Amino acid sequence: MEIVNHPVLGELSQAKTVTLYFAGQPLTAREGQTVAAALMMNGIYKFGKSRKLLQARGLYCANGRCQSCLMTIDGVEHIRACSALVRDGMTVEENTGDPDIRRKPHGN
Amino acid sequence: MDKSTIVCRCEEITVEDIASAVSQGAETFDDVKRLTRCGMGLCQAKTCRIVISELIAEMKAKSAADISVPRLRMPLRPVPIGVLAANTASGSFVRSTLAEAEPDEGQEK
Amino acid sequence: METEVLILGGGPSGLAAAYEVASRGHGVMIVDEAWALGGQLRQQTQIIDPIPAPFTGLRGFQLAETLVERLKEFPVEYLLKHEFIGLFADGSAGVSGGEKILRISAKCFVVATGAAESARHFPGWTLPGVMTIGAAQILINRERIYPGKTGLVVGSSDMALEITRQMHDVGINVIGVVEPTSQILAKDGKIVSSLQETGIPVLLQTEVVAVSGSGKVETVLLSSGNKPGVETDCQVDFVCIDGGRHPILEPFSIMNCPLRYEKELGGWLPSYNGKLQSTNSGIFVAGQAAGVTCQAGVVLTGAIAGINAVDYLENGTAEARESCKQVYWDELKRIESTQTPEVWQARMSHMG
Repeated sequence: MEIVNHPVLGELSQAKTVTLYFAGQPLTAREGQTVAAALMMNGIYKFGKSRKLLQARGLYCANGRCQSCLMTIDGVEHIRACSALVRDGMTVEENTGDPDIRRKPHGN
Repeated sequence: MDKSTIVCRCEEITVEDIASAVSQGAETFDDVKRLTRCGMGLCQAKTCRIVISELIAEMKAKSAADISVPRLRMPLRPVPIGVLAANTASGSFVRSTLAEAEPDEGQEK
Repeated sequence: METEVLILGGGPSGLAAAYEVASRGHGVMIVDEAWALGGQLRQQTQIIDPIPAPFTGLRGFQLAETLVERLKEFPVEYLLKHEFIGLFADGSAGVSGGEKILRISAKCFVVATGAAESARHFPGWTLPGVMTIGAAQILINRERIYPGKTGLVVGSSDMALEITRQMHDVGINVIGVVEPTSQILAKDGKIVSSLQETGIPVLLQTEVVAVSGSGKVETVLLSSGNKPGVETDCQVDFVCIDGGRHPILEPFSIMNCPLRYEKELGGWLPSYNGKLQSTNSGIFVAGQAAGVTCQAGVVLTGAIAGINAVDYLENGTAEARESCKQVYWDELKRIESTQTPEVWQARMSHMG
């Protein structure tokens, strides 16, 4: 959910919206938002699974350090959702573990 | 504290794993790292360094100042392997490091 | 690529250092991993106080804008969305924007990479919905979204209490701040009383037993030292971790700068002398990387490091620069020794 009225920053300006596709489903985000924030605004908190125990993971440090928010963005695996800005038409998938380097003849 | 609590989020190493490494003689973060893989995952110890160093200090009854910092290595952030190895005009890490290394006697550069 | 002074980090200290270098006619380049300058000030909405005179009354994000604005008249080069990933054998910096690696040679460096938030571990801290307190501030003030509706904060530093107040002000129901020790860690009385106004309880001697939920935070189980054996269940949809902050060390490790432990400066940090120069000549340390301190300390150490970088380039100092540095040191001493005397003491002993 968006914070429309902020006690210090005032009313949210009418920013351009973009559409991104999470697991194929269209979601609306504000231009200038990070992928992580766009997903959380749409009620999605689980961004992927841990590599060993396959437990749910999401945003943790929001600063590009912890690597907890890795996702597959536009087909590229292990992108930090906290540091990537949304783009219209962007596809976002959950991180399902280590990349499968054998999946394609030359990897990604 | 629950012994099964994760301390290294990336490699999913628990308090128990750290305790076991310490009981085998580990005294520093690097020692524990070599025995458990803690700090060797995606974040490269950026999140767990302090937590684990404090745990080791507590288990060894030492102060935090006695637990040395692990060696933090390149690349400091995730970089696609293709970028690291690419032979671009601006040069690449892998190539440049090799190119700058002094070859052993009798070997070609 | 080439520059005279390469500044790692475009937050308040890096920007302050850049101003001192650029305004004296030297070349400067700032590298920052974010897509915007300002560092952690970008999501700070509180008025920064204390702060040196030209910046009095500004809120955090306004201070960032002001520091960026005053660089506009100088030919400063910026490399945003680029990360410092290592050094080449000849000492030039390797910086990557994700597509290629740029090689930047510089006569000297100012490392202003800031501090990172320290973690706290408890069962379930890896669940989505558990985040650092700083992450929650980014969400509410920069991203303009709610981290959740009902939350709990673990840890009671000044930063944690300040952000708890900000979360309350945007309409989030923070059910409490839990602090495992027997006293509030925040040192700033104004911040503590500002939180008390909200009625949000600070639960001392209280620990998180576990956070649980199906794919996301749903409940948190607390135990109190005052009531042994009694565990309280709370329904929340997010939990913020405040474990304090520590200087970021990776660049110093790569640059072979010796480290030293100084508890009051946030733990391990690079050794530096009275010029804020690390043991490795030509590498200056500024801001939170030179010890966790208040915003005034961040800006002032950035400025001092910037002038020292100019001295380094010019192989010696000049009277005007010396007196300028003295003004900044006096200001730093005045603020740090009154606000956080232990930080000032530790800094003095660290510089030796």
